[in-house]
Amino acid sequence: MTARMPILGVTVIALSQLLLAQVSSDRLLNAQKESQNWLTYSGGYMSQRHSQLTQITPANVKDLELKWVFQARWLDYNQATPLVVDGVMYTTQGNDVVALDAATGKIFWIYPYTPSSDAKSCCGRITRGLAIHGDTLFLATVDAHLIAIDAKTGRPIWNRIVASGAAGYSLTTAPLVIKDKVIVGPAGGEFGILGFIAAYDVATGKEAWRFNTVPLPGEPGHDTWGEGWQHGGGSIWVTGSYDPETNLTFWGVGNPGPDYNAETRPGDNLYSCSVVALDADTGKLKWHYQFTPNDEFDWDAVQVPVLADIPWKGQPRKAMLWANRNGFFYVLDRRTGEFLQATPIAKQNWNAGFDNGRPIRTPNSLASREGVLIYPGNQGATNWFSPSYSPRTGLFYVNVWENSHHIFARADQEYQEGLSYTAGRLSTNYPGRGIAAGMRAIQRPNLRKEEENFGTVRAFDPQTGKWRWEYKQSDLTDAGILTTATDLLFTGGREGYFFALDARTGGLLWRMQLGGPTQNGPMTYAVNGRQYVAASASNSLFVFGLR
Amino acid sequence: MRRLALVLAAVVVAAATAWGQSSPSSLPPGDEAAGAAIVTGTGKCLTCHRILTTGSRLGPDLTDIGANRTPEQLRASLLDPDAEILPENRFYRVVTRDGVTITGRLLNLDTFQVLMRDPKDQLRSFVKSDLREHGFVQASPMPSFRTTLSPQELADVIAYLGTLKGVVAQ
Repeated sequence: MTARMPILGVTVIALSQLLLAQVSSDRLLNAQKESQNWLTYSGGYMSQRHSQLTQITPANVKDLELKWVFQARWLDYNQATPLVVDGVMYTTQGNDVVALDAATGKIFWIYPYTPSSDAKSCCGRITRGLAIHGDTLFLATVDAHLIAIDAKTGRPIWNRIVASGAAGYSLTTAPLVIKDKVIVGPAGGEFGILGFIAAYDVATGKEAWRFNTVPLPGEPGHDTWGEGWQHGGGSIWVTGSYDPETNLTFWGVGNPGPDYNAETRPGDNLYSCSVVALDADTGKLKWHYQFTPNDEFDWDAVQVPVLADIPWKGQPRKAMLWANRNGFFYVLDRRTGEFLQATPIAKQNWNAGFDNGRPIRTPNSLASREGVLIYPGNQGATNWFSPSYSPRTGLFYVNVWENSHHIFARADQEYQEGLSYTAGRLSTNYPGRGIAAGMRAIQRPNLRKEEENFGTVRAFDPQTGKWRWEYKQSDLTDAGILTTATDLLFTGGREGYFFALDARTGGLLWRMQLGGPTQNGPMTYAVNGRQYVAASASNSLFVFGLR
Repeated sequence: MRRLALVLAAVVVAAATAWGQSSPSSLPPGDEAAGAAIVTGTGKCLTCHRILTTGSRLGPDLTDIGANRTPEQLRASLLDPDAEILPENRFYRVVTRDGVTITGRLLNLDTFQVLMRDPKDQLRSFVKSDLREHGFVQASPMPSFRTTLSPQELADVIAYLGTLKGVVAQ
């Protein structure tokens, strides 16, 4: 047989040999230096969500205008932070993946994915974003699949079933790629799952290592559970960080199960409500710190671990900055896990101080069947939404829910696979039900008094643990925060405003009403020398640039 | 009524005759392994096509071609590639103001913009008003294999392509 060679094909072969992989491991290591791009969920392995772009400044931010909108064919909130690679934006629409022209919003391709109808999710069938390595995107789906997708064509390459969606496991986190592995862990803390963090080979999807966030029999920490380990939760639903100097990857672990009744799980319940530092090559635990031992208030430690090199008592320190759902701002040494400091970020009544880093419970803060009033409430004083750290200002910025509370009451509940497993009841002292600080941002008029909880941006000095300034909103906020090298801070909230603050003073510089809550982490990028800022509102993505 | 039945019967007979002329059933039984050797080797199909992560992104991805195209359609595409080019496989050609010509897979088209994947695998967008000329490429870049594949080789290739059902979750 003598097949005639297509001339165009010969040309393609020659040209393709000249091409390098799209996003190499080195590019990911140096992502923060590629300010025109946004290569990981948090903008780089340090997870500072801080950009070096300087075109948009405090002086001209008032000239921002809407450039384009991506209206997703999807009814739930958009909690994804897009990736941008050399002029192409990759984001999600529900569990679909979309490639867009980052300058105009026009669609290059869509990879459609419909999760299995028996998948369970406590809080929306969402995904928070993607990861990229080479020419491959990675999507974690709500029915607990991890899918590799060709970034050039939108076609699947492999599809790994990570866990059982029907049993309550779901993947909502944006994966994290380190070297040749892509790392994820399952959500499902309200379904009695057994949590883990697992790494998969980027080329084949084969599992490379797994760390059990609820230790199995024989594993260190198993003895902190009693019999309750079997449905212990320990979910993963926010992307971790990575320190190449120590080759450690850091992940926050969710609440123990059942959420509101620890009678079946006496002990600290490691590694729930903890940060774990794992060897990125093997998944071996290097250190851990538990923010809330034996939690009964649903205080997942699923916050983004922010890595920062800061001055500490006159010496440089490799720190980890962490505003936790339990109402405290922690400074840890990221090489060792050493507890350096913790200070309140909002009203709290459960903690009387720390003993060598271990929280001391106040006398009347133990859960009971009658109920106990606890500040903050079950959604915490902050939650999964990304904070930001600016090396320029030295400040750590986080959206806080102030004055939130719940009355937590234990209840009996038998575990049933695939069903919600919380074993408790929540109530409040607020008049009516509309005031409670709930997970879902329901669009309705806000009627809260300030003492009935509100959202606020707070700028913390890591060296003192105190906030320098705050920017109050009347309603709550689930928005992440972006800072830039021109000392701008972008964020939003449930009121529908997307706005810019002066990162040094908290002064309002610009705002735009987008008609729905911002629930993703804002990000910025540049195409052809023009800087853009992107934020979601409801299910849509809005992109701004200067006039 | 009788007349209508006769007309319908005539149509069915005519369609069956035409089907028979182009149906793979007129080919010898295909050997999937031999077909794989042609597609991935001697036939150089992956010069333009792709299976999973092997090959070029220029032409249609073959990873799940067996799930989406019938043997008859595959045979028609191999013998007469210009007869039917699916919209998602169309090529577009643009000439920039400085005279550079780029031909690629059309990905999106609107009043103002053209989006394509170029031969370097880059996702590109062009503003029409910035182009000297632009338009669809009418012919498929794929050659006909009518004279270059024997009936047996054609059957082998079709048999192999039929096994390509896409990525399976595991």
